Amino acid sequence: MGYKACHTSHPTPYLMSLSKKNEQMSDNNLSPIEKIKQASDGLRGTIEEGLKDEITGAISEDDQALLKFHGMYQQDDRDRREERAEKKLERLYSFMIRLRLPGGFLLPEQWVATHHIAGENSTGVIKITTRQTLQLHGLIKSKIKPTIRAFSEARLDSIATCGDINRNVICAAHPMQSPIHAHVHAYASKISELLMPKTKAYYEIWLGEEKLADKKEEEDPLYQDRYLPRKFKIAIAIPPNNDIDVLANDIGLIAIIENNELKGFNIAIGGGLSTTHGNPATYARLASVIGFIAGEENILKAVYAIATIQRDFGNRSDRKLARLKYTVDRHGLAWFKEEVERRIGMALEKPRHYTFTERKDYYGWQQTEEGLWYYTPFVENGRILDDEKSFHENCFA
Amino acid sequence: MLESPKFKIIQELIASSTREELIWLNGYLAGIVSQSEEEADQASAISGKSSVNKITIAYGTETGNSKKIAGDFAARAKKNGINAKLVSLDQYRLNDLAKEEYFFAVISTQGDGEPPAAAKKFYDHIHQNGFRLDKLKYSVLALGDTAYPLYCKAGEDVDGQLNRLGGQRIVSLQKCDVDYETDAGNWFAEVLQKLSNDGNPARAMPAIVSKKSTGKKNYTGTILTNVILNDRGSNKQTHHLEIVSDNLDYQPGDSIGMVPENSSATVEAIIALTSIDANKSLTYRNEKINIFNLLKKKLNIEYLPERVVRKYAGLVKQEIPETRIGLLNLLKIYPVKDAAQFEAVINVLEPISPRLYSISSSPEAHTGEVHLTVAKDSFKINEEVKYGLCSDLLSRLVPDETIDFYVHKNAQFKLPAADKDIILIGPGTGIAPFRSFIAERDAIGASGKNWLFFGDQHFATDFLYQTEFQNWIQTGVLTKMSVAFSRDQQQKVYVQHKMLKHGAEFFEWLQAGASIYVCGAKEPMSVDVENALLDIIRQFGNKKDAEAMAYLDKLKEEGRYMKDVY
Repeated sequence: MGYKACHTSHPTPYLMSLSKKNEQMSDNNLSPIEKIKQASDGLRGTIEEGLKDEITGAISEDDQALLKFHGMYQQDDRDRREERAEKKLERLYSFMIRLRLPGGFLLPEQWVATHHIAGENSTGVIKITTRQTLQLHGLIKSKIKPTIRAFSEARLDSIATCGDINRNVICAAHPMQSPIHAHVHAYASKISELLMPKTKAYYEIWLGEEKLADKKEEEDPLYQDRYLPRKFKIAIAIPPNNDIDVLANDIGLIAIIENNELKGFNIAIGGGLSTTHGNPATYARLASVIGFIAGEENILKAVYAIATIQRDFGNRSDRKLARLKYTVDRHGLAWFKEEVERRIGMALEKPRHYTFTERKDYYGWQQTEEGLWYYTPFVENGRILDDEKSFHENCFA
Repeated sequence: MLESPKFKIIQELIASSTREELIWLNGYLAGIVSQSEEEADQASAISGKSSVNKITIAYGTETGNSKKIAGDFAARAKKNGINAKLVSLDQYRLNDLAKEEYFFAVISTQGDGEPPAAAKKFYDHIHQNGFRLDKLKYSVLALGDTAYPLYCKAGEDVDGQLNRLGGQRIVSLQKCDVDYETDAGNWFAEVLQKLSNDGNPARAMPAIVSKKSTGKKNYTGTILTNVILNDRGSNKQTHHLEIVSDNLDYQPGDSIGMVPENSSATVEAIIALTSIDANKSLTYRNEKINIFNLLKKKLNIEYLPERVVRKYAGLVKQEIPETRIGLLNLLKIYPVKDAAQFEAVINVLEPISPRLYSISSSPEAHTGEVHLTVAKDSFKINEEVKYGLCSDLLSRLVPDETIDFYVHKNAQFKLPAADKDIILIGPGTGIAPFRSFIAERDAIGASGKNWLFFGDQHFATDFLYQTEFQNWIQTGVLTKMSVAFSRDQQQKVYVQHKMLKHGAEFFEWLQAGASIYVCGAKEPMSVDVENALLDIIRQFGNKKDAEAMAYLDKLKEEGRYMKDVY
């Protein structure tokens, strides 16, 4: 069955008036996170000092907000809070680190390296996420740097995998399935690179690179000093399989293939399934297809433009209403499409026809168009233990 | 008035002198008499004029009692016109010993019969052979605690060894229990007495004078809290105990002592095995007590020292290898003949040693309470995990249970004036007195800066009192805290490494007058810490080895380098 952009909600007058106010919002209405971002000196904050503080396993609250942009979350084991308080121990803080793996692609040696790093520095469990990446849990503060350094040696990073910024770009899973798949898959990396923040903070803090003498080198025309109002997700699907749930993303690109050739992409905007419990102003929304665009340069320009519109018009006072879907609905699809066209200096074509017939993973042995065999294992809950025996038992038994 | 030999000499002198010579002698004698009257005025009247004018009083102290006594005696000697040199045994030049004429040692004994750390070098020196002390006249005042099996052992050893080296004991060894004032005072009065009529060679004195006395104030406390400070998954089990008791009298730096009881099961097994009458009453240290209670509460039956095993072997007339073993096992392997023989065994058993724990509370901050930080001590005997008797007992106490203890004062481990800076180095349970120090300084609003070094195995599970120290950092009471968690990385990191890492700043603190306190394991920790300290002084004070050593000695002399190590 095909998926259609079925959500056509019309912004209410109330929301319209609210949006006007938002755009002229004084700094006082900014959410606290906005102020932290702006004052962060390129996402640096006081993370360095916080890492050196040996007395606590935590980092300051402001730095926790910034740490997300570096691909990490601070967590603590809630079940242990009470008992540890009695023992005069602080909460059991640890960190989750998530890799940037555009299209979920990593080389065999990178996979092996990740295994070693997980065993040495984290709980030993590798989690495969729904956004086609890997995350490690339970890193204590002193293990963060060694972890990121080890990843770096394997040419892996965790830049922008959390936080108010473009997240890991996801794509139809297997690039070697066909030449078209490889071609489309390459866009995941290109978009990821395009929307990376320009700050060198990640390299300075975690990899010990020298501090920039001239801050102009990291001026960021896309994110400026405010980044996006909220997380921003991009997915690329190759019909007829919608394995990555393309319309659940802020931007969904649907590859249009005619005569076994990639023609371009339909662009869908404003998807997102999450709602806040008890907050009726929040809702799930499937992305709306606003047009078709061809040519790599144009495609990238359009994606970039959508991100800048969200940067300029997204809600920065209420984080619950800050995702692109609310921006789209507040301003209307037509306005949004015009704004995209204005920013890229060209009109979008009418959406092309596409059909999704399935939304699944093909487990077990499969064959590429070329005739090569490959195997897709089922990994329950995406959990892989750092233990070769159990890995093989889980995946290949 | 004159004794007859002298009178005879004078008569002969007069008979053989001319008149002019007699007139000159008359004036000469008058001059001498007026001079000696002036000297006599300067001397105190207590024991009359002393004929000895130079003595050395040396002390070996751990908690400060020996030092205090020695200081008092030196002052009294001076009032008697005796030039008394007062010196700590760790500052005493060992080569001077052979030159000494009058030497008085005041020395305490550690729980295990060892001399205080400060007296160790002296103690070892006199136990070497190859020199004689034939000129030496001496006496020893030994401080101790009758609750320990090797009561006043260090003093006894020093007394005996000086004698063996040829020294003449002019006053018998005086052993003193915890209420030492009277016995010590009497001993020194006797010393002064002997000095005042010296010139006479000292007669050989009987070896030992000792009187039984008990002077400890005993408390009964009620357990308020007993929590394990280490988190799950730790290799350690460190208990934090809060105990309430009435009229507590202690200072930060003091310890509490307690005598752990033996397990009833073990005592019952021993009684069953030996068929002795558990209710039979005996007299033990002037106290009537039945055999069951004697074995349960007074005598050490666990992990007997080799010297006791040897005596046991003698009694049962069997060959027993020199090893430490529990009484129950000993009885099983080498049974006694009958109940009577077992009574003889009871006579060679030693008292249960009191265990000392540094107090981790402050009388100002935790009024009416003492807190303890107790590591449950575990060790293996023949692959079987055993726990230290007292730490095991403490670890199992639950709220509302009671416990008996006394306060063990430590005058050598006290906070300086409130405006002075302190550097505290206390890894593991060595943290205990420093929690007390910081809490006390917080409560009294002391203005001096505080820098704490702590270490243990793992940050996540073994950071003792973490949230309390975090609060003290936040409120500024704790100026700086440096921590070393040895097993959180491949290379082990200990407190001494952290000291060196902050060496420049450490030395600045020292130069500004900070005092250093070290608490925890004697070896290897306190040795490594001292080496690091010397390194810092050398490196950041730009000093050669000998100069650095002198700098450290000066810190000790000024009471700015204090250790409570075990």
